[in-house]
Amino acid sequence: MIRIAIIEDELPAIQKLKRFIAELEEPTEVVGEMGSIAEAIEFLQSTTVDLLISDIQLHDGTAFDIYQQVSLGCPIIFTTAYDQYWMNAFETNGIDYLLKPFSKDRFLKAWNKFLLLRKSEKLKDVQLTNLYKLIEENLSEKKFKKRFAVQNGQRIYLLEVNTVVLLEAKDGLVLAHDKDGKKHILNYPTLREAEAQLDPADFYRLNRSELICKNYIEKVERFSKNILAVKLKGYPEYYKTSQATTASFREWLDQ
Amino acid sequence: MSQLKAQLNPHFLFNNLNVLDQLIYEDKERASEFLNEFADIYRYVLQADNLKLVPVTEELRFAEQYYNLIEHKYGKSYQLKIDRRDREGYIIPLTLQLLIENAVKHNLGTSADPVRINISIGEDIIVSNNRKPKRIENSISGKALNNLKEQYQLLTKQVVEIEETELVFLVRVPKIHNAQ
Repeated sequence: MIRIAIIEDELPAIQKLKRFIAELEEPTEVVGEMGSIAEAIEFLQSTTVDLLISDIQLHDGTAFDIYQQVSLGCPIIFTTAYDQYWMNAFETNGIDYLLKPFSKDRFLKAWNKFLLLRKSEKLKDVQLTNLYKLIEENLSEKKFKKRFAVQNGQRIYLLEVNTVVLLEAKDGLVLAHDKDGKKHILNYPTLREAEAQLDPADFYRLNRSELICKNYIEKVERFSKNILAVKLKGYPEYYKTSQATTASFREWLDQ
Repeated sequence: MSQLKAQLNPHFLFNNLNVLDQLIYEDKERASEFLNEFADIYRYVLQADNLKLVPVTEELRFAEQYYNLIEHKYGKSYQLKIDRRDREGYIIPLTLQLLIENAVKHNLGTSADPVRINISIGEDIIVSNNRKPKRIENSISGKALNNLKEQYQLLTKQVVEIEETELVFLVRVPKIHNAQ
Protein backbone atom coordinates (compact mmCIF):
# COMPACT_ATOMS: atom_id res chain seq x y z
CA MET A 1 0.00 0.00 0.00
CA ILE A 2 1.46 3.35 -1.06
CA ARG A 3 0.50 6.06 1.43
CA ILE A 4 -0.12 9.45 -0.15
CA ALA A 5 -0.86 12.84 1.40
CA ILE A 6 -2.26 15.78 -0.57
CA ILE A 7 -1.61 19.41 0.23
CA GLU A 8 -4.04 21.50 -1.80
CA ASP A 9 -6.52 24.20 -0.86
CA GLU A 10 -8.91 24.08 -3.80
CA LEU A 11 -11.63 21.47 -3.53
CA PRO A 12 -11.92 20.59 -7.24
CA ALA A 13 -8.14 20.31 -7.47
CA ILE A 14 -8.19 17.80 -4.59
CA GLN A 15 -10.98 15.85 -6.28
CA LYS A 16 -9.02 15.75 -9.50
CA LEU A 17 -5.92 14.38 -7.78
CA LYS A 18 -7.94 11.79 -5.88
CA ARG A 19 -9.62 10.70 -9.10
CA PHE A 20 -6.24 10.24 -10.83
CA ILE A 21 -4.88 8.38 -7.79
CA ALA A 22 -7.91 6.07 -7.65
CA GLU A 23 -7.34 5.14 -11.29
CA LEU A 24 -3.77 3.96 -10.66
CA GLU A 25 -2.95 0.26 -10.92
CA GLU A 26 -0.87 0.22 -7.75
CA PRO A 27 -2.66 -0.06 -4.39
CA THR A 28 -2.73 3.40 -2.84
CA GLU A 29 -4.29 5.17 0.09
CA VAL A 30 -4.80 8.91 0.51
CA VAL A 31 -4.04 9.26 4.21
CA GLY A 32 -4.28 13.03 4.50
CA GLU A 33 -5.74 16.09 2.78
CA MET A 34 -4.46 19.40 4.06
CA GLY A 35 -5.64 22.78 2.87
CA SER A 36 -3.20 25.01 4.69
CA ILE A 37 0.42 25.27 5.72
CA ALA A 38 -0.52 25.07 9.40
CA GLU A 39 -2.53 21.85 8.92
CA ALA A 40 0.20 20.30 6.79
CA ILE A 41 2.90 20.99 9.38
CA GLU A 42 0.79 19.46 12.13
CA PHE A 43 0.00 16.38 10.03
CA LEU A 44 3.52 15.76 8.78
CA GLN A 45 5.02 16.04 12.23
CA SER A 46 3.06 13.02 13.37
CA THR A 47 2.54 10.94 10.23
CA THR A 48 4.88 9.39 7.72
CA VAL A 49 3.82 8.96 4.13
CA ASP A 50 5.39 7.48 1.00
CA LEU A 51 4.56 10.38 -1.26
CA LEU A 52 3.41 13.98 -0.93
CA ILE A 53 1.52 15.74 -3.68
CA SER A 54 1.72 19.39 -2.83
CA ASP A 55 0.39 22.62 -4.27
CA ILE A 56 2.90 25.42 -3.86
CA GLN A 57 0.82 28.52 -3.26
CA LEU A 58 -1.62 28.01 -0.42
CA HIS A 59 -3.85 30.32 1.58
CA ASP A 60 -1.35 30.91 4.30
CA GLY A 61 1.96 30.86 2.49
CA THR A 62 3.96 28.72 0.11
CA ALA A 63 4.57 25.03 0.59
CA PHE A 64 8.25 25.75 1.13
CA ASP A 65 7.32 27.14 4.55
CA ILE A 66 6.30 23.57 5.45
CA TYR A 67 9.59 22.06 4.44
CA GLN A 68 11.51 24.60 6.44
CA GLN A 69 9.75 23.42 9.57
CA VAL A 70 9.35 19.70 8.98
CA SER A 71 12.14 17.49 7.74
CA LEU A 72 10.67 15.08 5.25
CA GLY A 73 11.88 11.67 4.23
CA CYS A 74 9.52 11.19 1.31
CA PRO A 75 9.54 12.49 -2.25
CA ILE A 76 7.22 15.33 -3.28
CA ILE A 77 5.36 15.92 -6.53
CA PHE A 78 4.60 19.62 -6.72
CA THR A 79 1.57 20.99 -8.48
CA THR A 80 1.28 24.64 -9.31
CA ALA A 81 -0.49 26.98 -11.68
CA TYR A 82 2.53 29.04 -12.47
CA ASP A 83 6.15 28.14 -12.84
CA GLN A 84 7.90 30.85 -10.89
CA TYR A 85 8.80 28.41 -8.13
CA TRP A 86 10.26 25.50 -10.01
CA MET A 87 13.81 26.14 -8.85
CA ASN A 88 12.78 26.04 -5.18
CA ALA A 89 10.87 22.84 -5.85
CA PHE A 90 13.99 20.90 -6.63
CA GLU A 91 15.85 22.23 -3.63
CA THR A 92 13.44 20.22 -1.48
CA ASN A 93 12.53 16.57 -2.06
CA GLY A 94 10.72 17.50 -5.24
CA ILE A 95 10.86 14.82 -7.93
CA ASP A 96 8.47 16.39 -10.42
CA TYR A 97 6.54 19.53 -11.08
CA LEU A 98 3.02 19.45 -12.49
CA LEU A 99 1.78 22.63 -14.10
CA LYS A 100 -1.95 23.16 -13.71
CA PRO A 101 -4.02 22.25 -15.53
CA PHE A 102 -2.27 18.91 -16.04
CA SER A 103 -3.51 15.90 -17.99
CA LYS A 104 -3.80 12.33 -16.74
CA ASP A 105 -0.81 11.44 -18.92
CA ARG A 106 1.32 14.11 -17.34
CA PHE A 107 0.25 12.95 -13.90
CA LEU A 108 1.17 9.36 -14.79
CA LYS A 109 4.58 10.50 -15.92
CA ALA A 110 5.22 11.98 -12.48
CA TRP A 111 3.79 8.85 -10.85
CA ASN A 112 6.07 6.57 -12.83
CA LYS A 113 9.01 8.70 -11.81
CA PHE A 114 7.98 8.15 -8.22
CA LEU A 115 7.68 4.37 -8.78
CA LEU A 116 11.10 4.24 -10.39
CA LEU A 117 12.60 6.10 -7.46
CA ARG A 118 10.82 3.83 -5.01
CA LYS A 119 12.11 0.74 -6.82
CA SER A 120 15.68 1.96 -6.80
CA GLU A 121 15.35 2.87 -3.13
CA LYS A 122 14.21 -0.68 -2.45
CA LEU A 123 17.09 -2.02 -4.51
CA LYS A 124 19.43 0.11 -2.46
CA ASP A 125 17.89 -1.40 0.65
CA VAL A 126 18.51 -4.92 -0.65
CA GLN A 127 22.09 -4.07 -1.55
CA LEU A 128 22.61 -2.58 1.87
CA THR A 129 21.20 -5.67 3.58
CA ASN A 130 23.48 -7.89 1.57
CA LEU A 131 26.43 -5.73 2.50
CA TYR A 132 25.55 -5.93 6.19
CA LYS A 133 25.29 -9.70 5.87
CA LEU A 134 28.69 -9.88 4.26
CA ILE A 135 30.26 -7.71 6.94
CA GLU A 136 28.61 -9.74 9.66
CA GLU A 137 29.84 -13.00 8.21
CA ASN A 138 33.37 -11.71 8.02
CA LEU A 139 33.45 -10.06 11.41
CA SER A 140 31.83 -12.77 13.42
CA GLU A 141 33.94 -15.79 14.28
CA LYS A 142 33.60 -18.39 11.65
CA LYS A 143 32.21 -21.64 12.89
CA PHE A 144 34.54 -24.56 12.38
CA LYS A 145 33.82 -28.19 12.66
CA LYS A 146 34.17 -29.71 16.14
CA ARG A 147 33.60 -33.32 15.15
CA PHE A 148 33.25 -35.50 12.09
CA ALA A 149 30.47 -38.01 11.58
CA VAL A 150 32.25 -41.14 10.36
CA GLN A 151 30.43 -43.95 8.60
CA ASN A 152 31.62 -47.45 9.29
CA GLY A 153 29.44 -49.95 7.45
CA GLN A 154 25.92 -49.49 8.86
CA ARG A 155 27.28 -47.62 11.86
CA ILE A 156 27.96 -43.92 12.30
CA TYR A 157 30.22 -42.66 15.06
CA LEU A 158 31.62 -39.28 16.00
CA LEU A 159 35.27 -38.36 15.76
CA GLU A 160 36.26 -35.30 17.84
CA VAL A 161 38.35 -32.89 15.78
CA ASN A 162 40.63 -32.21 18.76
CA THR A 163 41.76 -35.85 18.68
CA VAL A 164 42.86 -35.62 15.07
CA VAL A 165 46.61 -35.51 14.52
CA LEU A 166 46.73 -35.71 10.76
CA LEU A 167 44.49 -35.72 7.70
CA GLU A 168 45.75 -37.56 4.71
CA ALA A 169 44.60 -37.92 1.11
CA LYS A 170 45.32 -41.44 -0.02
CA ASP A 171 43.94 -43.59 -2.84
CA GLY A 172 41.10 -41.14 -3.45
CA LEU A 173 40.04 -41.17 0.22
CA VAL A 174 40.45 -38.65 2.97
CA LEU A 175 41.77 -40.34 6.11
CA ALA A 176 41.91 -38.94 9.60
CA HIS A 177 44.61 -40.30 11.92
CA ASP A 178 43.77 -39.84 15.59
CA LYS A 179 46.06 -39.56 18.65
CA ASP A 180 45.65 -43.28 19.33
CA GLY A 181 46.96 -44.16 15.86
CA LYS A 182 43.58 -45.19 14.50
CA LYS A 183 42.47 -44.38 10.95
CA HIS A 184 39.02 -43.05 9.99
CA ILE A 185 37.61 -42.59 6.51
CA LEU A 186 36.01 -39.14 6.27
CA ASN A 187 33.11 -38.34 4.01
CA TYR A 188 34.95 -35.72 1.91
CA PRO A 189 35.82 -36.11 -1.75
CA THR A 190 39.04 -34.11 -1.40
CA LEU A 191 41.43 -32.98 1.29
CA ARG A 192 40.77 -29.37 0.30
CA GLU A 193 37.09 -29.69 1.25
CA ALA A 194 37.94 -31.18 4.64
CA GLU A 195 40.45 -28.38 5.19
CA ALA A 196 37.79 -25.72 4.56
CA GLN A 197 35.85 -27.05 7.59
CA LEU A 198 38.78 -26.74 9.98
CA ASP A 199 40.27 -23.79 11.82
CA PRO A 200 43.39 -22.71 9.89
CA ALA A 201 44.99 -21.69 13.18
CA ASP A 202 45.01 -25.38 14.22
CA PHE A 203 45.51 -27.19 10.92
CA TYR A 204 48.11 -26.67 8.28
CA ARG A 205 48.33 -28.17 4.82
CA LEU A 206 51.96 -29.31 4.62
CA ASN A 207 51.71 -30.50 1.03
CA ARG A 208 49.22 -31.82 -1.47
CA SER A 209 48.23 -34.84 0.58
CA GLU A 210 48.88 -34.01 4.25
CA LEU A 211 47.14 -31.70 6.72
CA ILE A 212 48.62 -31.63 10.23
CA CYS A 213 47.37 -30.40 13.60
CA LYS A 214 49.50 -27.91 15.53
CA ASN A 215 48.57 -29.38 18.94
CA TYR A 216 50.23 -32.70 18.09
CA ILE A 217 53.53 -31.42 16.76
CA GLU A 218 56.35 -32.96 18.75
CA LYS A 219 59.24 -31.29 16.94
CA VAL A 220 60.29 -29.66 13.70
CA GLU A 221 63.66 -30.35 12.13
CA ARG A 222 65.53 -29.02 9.17
CA PHE A 223 65.46 -31.66 6.44
CA SER A 224 67.25 -29.84 3.64
CA LYS A 225 67.94 -26.24 2.68
CA ASN A 226 64.30 -25.36 1.99
CA ILE A 227 62.39 -28.20 3.54
CA LEU A 228 61.39 -28.90 7.12
CA ALA A 229 60.50 -32.27 8.65
CA VAL A 230 57.73 -32.45 11.25
CA LYS A 231 57.47 -35.18 13.89
CA LEU A 232 53.94 -35.73 15.26
CA LYS A 233 53.19 -37.18 18.69
CA GLY A 234 52.55 -40.89 18.57
CA TYR A 235 53.66 -41.19 14.92
CA PRO A 236 57.12 -42.39 14.01
CA GLU A 237 57.25 -40.84 10.53
CA TYR A 238 58.45 -37.39 9.60
CA TYR A 239 56.11 -35.24 7.50
CA LYS A 240 57.86 -32.89 5.11
CA THR A 241 56.97 -29.42 3.93
CA SER A 242 57.34 -28.61 0.25
CA GLN A 243 59.65 -25.88 -1.01
CA ALA A 244 56.59 -23.74 -1.66
CA THR A 245 55.09 -24.08 1.82
CA THR A 246 58.12 -23.87 4.10
CA ALA A 247 58.00 -20.10 4.63
CA SER A 248 54.31 -19.94 5.40
CA PHE A 249 54.59 -23.02 7.62
CA ARG A 250 57.12 -21.17 9.77
CA GLU A 251 54.70 -18.26 10.11
CA TRP A 252 51.85 -20.57 11.02
CA LEU A 253 53.96 -22.23 13.74
CA ASP A 254 54.48 -18.85 15.43
CA GLN A 255 50.83 -17.88 15.49
CA MET B 1 -4.82 50.29 -13.40
CA SER B 2 -2.13 47.89 -14.47
CA GLN B 3 -1.42 47.24 -10.78
CA LEU B 4 -4.98 46.07 -10.25
CA LYS B 5 -4.97 44.05 -13.42
CA ALA B 6 -1.99 42.20 -12.12
CA GLN B 7 -4.31 40.70 -9.55
CA LEU B 8 -5.68 38.45 -12.25
CA ASN B 9 -2.29 37.01 -12.98
CA PRO B 10 -1.28 33.84 -14.79
CA HIS B 11 -1.50 32.01 -11.48
CA PHE B 12 -5.17 32.89 -11.33
CA LEU B 13 -5.75 31.83 -14.93
CA PHE B 14 -4.10 28.42 -14.73
CA ASN B 15 -5.49 27.56 -11.33
CA ASN B 16 -8.97 28.14 -12.66
CA LEU B 17 -8.33 26.08 -15.76
CA ASN B 18 -7.37 23.21 -13.48
CA VAL B 19 -10.57 23.65 -11.50
CA LEU B 20 -12.48 23.65 -14.78
CA ASP B 21 -10.82 20.39 -15.78
CA GLN B 22 -12.21 18.66 -12.70
CA LEU B 23 -15.65 20.26 -13.04
CA ILE B 24 -15.92 18.98 -16.62
CA TYR B 25 -15.50 15.50 -15.21
CA GLU B 26 -17.82 16.00 -12.23
CA ASP B 27 -20.65 18.05 -13.62
CA LYS B 28 -20.98 19.37 -17.17
CA GLU B 29 -23.43 22.09 -16.26
CA ARG B 30 -21.42 23.42 -13.37
CA ALA B 31 -18.36 23.37 -15.56
CA SER B 32 -20.14 25.43 -18.21
CA GLU B 33 -21.36 27.88 -15.58
CA PHE B 34 -17.87 28.18 -14.19
CA LEU B 35 -16.37 28.71 -17.64
CA ASN B 36 -18.81 31.49 -18.52
CA GLU B 37 -18.27 33.22 -15.21
CA PHE B 38 -14.56 32.98 -15.65
CA ALA B 39 -14.79 34.43 -19.18
CA ASP B 40 -16.92 37.31 -17.91
CA ILE B 41 -14.40 38.03 -15.20
CA TYR B 42 -11.54 38.08 -17.61
CA ARG B 43 -13.41 40.30 -20.06
CA TYR B 44 -14.32 42.69 -17.27
CA VAL B 45 -10.72 42.96 -16.19
CA LEU B 46 -9.51 43.56 -19.74
CA GLN B 47 -12.11 46.25 -20.34
CA ALA B 48 -11.49 47.81 -16.96
CA ASP B 49 -8.06 48.67 -18.24
CA ASN B 50 -9.55 51.27 -20.57
CA LEU B 51 -11.99 52.86 -18.18
CA LYS B 52 -11.37 54.88 -15.12
CA LEU B 53 -14.69 54.50 -13.39
CA VAL B 54 -17.59 52.06 -13.64
CA PRO B 55 -21.13 52.16 -12.23
CA VAL B 56 -21.32 50.53 -8.81
CA THR B 57 -23.94 48.07 -10.11
CA GLU B 58 -21.51 46.72 -12.70
CA GLU B 59 -18.73 46.29 -10.19
CA LEU B 60 -21.18 44.55 -7.86
CA ARG B 61 -22.15 42.03 -10.53
CA PHE B 62 -18.50 41.40 -11.18
CA ALA B 63 -17.81 40.98 -7.46
CA GLU B 64 -20.50 38.32 -7.27
CA GLN B 65 -19.06 36.44 -10.21
CA TYR B 66 -15.62 36.63 -8.70
CA TYR B 67 -16.98 35.32 -5.44
CA ASN B 68 -18.62 32.39 -7.27
CA LEU B 69 -15.18 31.29 -8.45
CA ILE B 70 -14.00 31.35 -4.86
CA GLU B 71 -16.99 29.33 -3.77
CA HIS B 72 -16.26 26.71 -6.42
CA LYS B 73 -12.77 26.39 -5.04
CA TYR B 74 -13.17 26.69 -1.29
CA GLY B 75 -16.76 25.66 -0.72
CA LYS B 76 -18.50 27.34 2.21
CA SER B 77 -15.28 28.45 3.90
CA TYR B 78 -15.79 31.97 2.58
CA GLN B 79 -19.21 33.59 2.45
CA LEU B 80 -20.35 36.79 0.82
CA LYS B 81 -23.29 39.02 1.74
CA ILE B 82 -24.18 42.12 -0.20
CA ASP B 83 -26.36 44.88 1.19
CA ARG B 84 -27.55 47.23 -1.58
CA ARG B 85 -29.16 50.24 0.02
CA ASP B 86 -28.00 52.83 -2.48
CA ARG B 87 -26.72 51.54 -5.79
CA GLU B 88 -26.20 54.91 -7.42
CA GLY B 89 -22.73 56.22 -8.16
CA TYR B 90 -19.43 55.04 -9.53
CA ILE B 91 -16.42 53.12 -8.38
CA ILE B 92 -12.91 52.38 -9.58
CA PRO B 93 -13.17 49.00 -11.31
CA LEU B 94 -11.82 45.95 -9.49
CA THR B 95 -12.06 47.69 -6.11
CA LEU B 96 -14.47 45.11 -4.70
CA GLN B 97 -12.60 42.22 -6.32
CA LEU B 98 -9.40 43.34 -4.66
CA LEU B 99 -11.03 43.65 -1.25
CA ILE B 100 -12.65 40.22 -1.52
CA GLU B 101 -9.37 38.73 -2.66
CA ASN B 102 -7.61 40.35 0.28
CA ALA B 103 -10.11 38.94 2.76
CA VAL B 104 -9.57 35.45 1.35
CA LYS B 105 -5.83 35.85 1.21
CA HIS B 106 -5.37 37.02 4.78
CA ASN B 107 -8.02 35.00 6.59
CA LEU B 108 -8.34 31.29 6.95
CA GLY B 109 -11.93 30.15 6.68
CA THR B 110 -13.24 26.64 7.23
CA SER B 111 -16.72 25.36 6.53
CA ALA B 112 -17.28 25.07 10.29
CA ASP B 113 -15.92 28.53 10.97
CA PRO B 114 -16.22 30.58 7.79
CA VAL B 115 -14.90 33.99 6.91
CA ARG B 116 -17.94 36.21 6.30
CA ILE B 117 -17.39 39.03 3.87
CA ASN B 118 -19.95 41.83 3.89
CA ILE B 119 -20.32 44.45 1.21
CA SER B 120 -22.53 47.36 2.13
CA ILE B 121 -23.43 49.97 -0.48
CA GLY B 122 -24.73 53.15 1.13
CA GLU B 123 -23.20 56.62 1.31
CA ASP B 124 -19.87 54.89 1.18
CA ILE B 125 -18.93 51.45 0.09
CA ILE B 126 -17.94 49.33 3.06
CA VAL B 127 -16.28 45.96 2.78
CA SER B 128 -15.72 44.14 6.04
CA ASN B 129 -14.96 40.67 7.30
CA ASN B 130 -14.48 38.83 10.55
CA ARG B 131 -10.76 38.32 11.15
CA LYS B 132 -9.25 34.85 11.23
CA PRO B 133 -5.63 35.62 10.60
CA LYS B 134 -3.53 32.93 9.01
CA ARG B 135 -0.66 31.75 11.14
CA ILE B 136 1.91 32.45 8.48
CA GLU B 137 1.26 35.86 6.96
CA ASN B 138 2.19 36.61 3.39
CA SER B 139 5.21 38.82 3.44
CA ILE B 140 3.81 41.28 0.88
CA SER B 141 0.57 41.88 2.76
CA GLY B 142 -0.88 45.34 2.36
CA LYS B 143 0.66 46.01 -1.02
CA ALA B 144 -2.55 45.71 -2.99
CA LEU B 145 -4.47 47.80 -0.50
CA ASN B 146 -1.88 50.56 -0.65
CA ASN B 147 -2.19 50.61 -4.41
CA LEU B 148 -5.92 51.02 -4.09
CA LYS B 149 -5.47 53.92 -1.67
CA GLU B 150 -3.09 55.66 -4.06
CA GLN B 151 -5.52 55.12 -6.91
CA TYR B 152 -8.33 56.84 -5.03
CA GLN B 153 -6.08 59.64 -3.89
CA LEU B 154 -5.01 60.27 -7.46
CA LEU B 155 -8.41 59.99 -9.08
CA THR B 156 -10.79 61.41 -6.49
CA LYS B 157 -8.64 63.17 -3.91
CA GLN B 158 -10.61 61.14 -1.38
CA VAL B 159 -9.32 58.82 1.29
CA VAL B 160 -9.83 55.08 1.65
CA GLU B 161 -10.24 54.41 5.36
CA ILE B 162 -9.21 51.21 7.06
CA GLU B 163 -10.53 50.16 10.45
CA GLU B 164 -8.92 47.19 12.05
CA THR B 165 -9.80 45.57 15.36
CA GLU B 166 -9.00 42.16 16.74
CA LEU B 167 -12.24 40.78 15.36
CA VAL B 168 -13.10 42.85 12.30
CA PHE B 169 -11.30 44.23 9.28
CA LEU B 170 -13.17 47.02 7.53
CA VAL B 171 -12.41 49.15 4.49
CA ARG B 172 -14.46 52.25 3.70
CA VAL B 173 -14.26 53.34 0.08
CA PRO B 174 -15.74 56.70 -0.93
CA LYS B 175 -18.47 56.52 -3.54
CA ILE B 176 -17.98 58.72 -6.56
CA HIS B 177 -21.10 60.54 -7.65
CA ASN B 178 -19.87 62.07 -10.85
CA ALA B 179 -18.20 59.88 -13.47
CA GLN B 180 -16.41 62.88 -14.97
